[in-house]
Amino acid sequence: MLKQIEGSHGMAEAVGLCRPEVICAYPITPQTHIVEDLGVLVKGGQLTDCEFINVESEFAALSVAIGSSAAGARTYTATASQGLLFMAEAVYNLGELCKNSHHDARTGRKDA
Amino acid sequence: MLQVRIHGRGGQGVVSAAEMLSVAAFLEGKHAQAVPSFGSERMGAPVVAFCRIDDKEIRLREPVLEPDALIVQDPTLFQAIDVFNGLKDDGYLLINTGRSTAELGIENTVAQLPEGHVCTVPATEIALKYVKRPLPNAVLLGALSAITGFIKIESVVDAIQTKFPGKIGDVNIAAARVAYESASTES
Repeated sequence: MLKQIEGSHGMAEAVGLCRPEVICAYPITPQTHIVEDLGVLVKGGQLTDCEFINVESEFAALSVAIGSSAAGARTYTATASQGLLFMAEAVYNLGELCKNSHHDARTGRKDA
Repeated sequence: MLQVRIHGRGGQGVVSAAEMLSVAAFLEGKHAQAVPSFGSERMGAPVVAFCRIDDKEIRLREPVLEPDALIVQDPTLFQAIDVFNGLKDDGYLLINTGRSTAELGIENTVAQLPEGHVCTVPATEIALKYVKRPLPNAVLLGALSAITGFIKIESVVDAIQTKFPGKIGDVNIAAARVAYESASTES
């Protein structure tokens, strides 16, 4: 059966199916709906064994992602535009240290 | 494939209009997509959103450059940007205004379009009367259904209900039906 959904909701559904253990993000349009939906999945109990961490900035979001990923957790964060710019410093650490999943909503680029 | 471009200003529900239009088409069993164009987000900034409708899968993900129909939610945009850019020769034009196209200074463009393809609707006034807020988006979808036949009015009604369940949906539906009935075309 075909279903019509917002791209961000589809993204959240797909990420949920990957069973992430840590999700952290700071809201920025057009990414907000992705992490909003993931928050609902965690809070609603559909996504178990997953910690949703509220952070105070994109810099913190990626830092938490790096830290939890280095500790062995499957981690997800998402951002867009200026948010990615604010992550720039941590992006270098990300590349050196670990594998996690990061999604830029505006360009649709997916970096592993 | 039918392609619609919606022009308006931030806060007028341009993005929601494209979304509701795509939902309406989807409810008719068609493939549909709605794409908002993100610029600087603030009340009053010019905003554009796109909608595509087709019988088969739509793989395009780009802005609509050659629309079959153009919805203009704010007639002051004619002075600000090139609203008509790429509009097809046999395209439709739907404008939210209580004034004539001559008063808006666009009679030359309008004259090039086929008879019955241009429609003005005082959508903001209709919205203020029924919705009590200046939100012309749902109203214009009712008029779009009337002049183009791209989508049925009942699908528009269902789409509004899906997006805005409850009282807000009901008043928007009432307004959309009024626009559908009264969509008068000027040649």
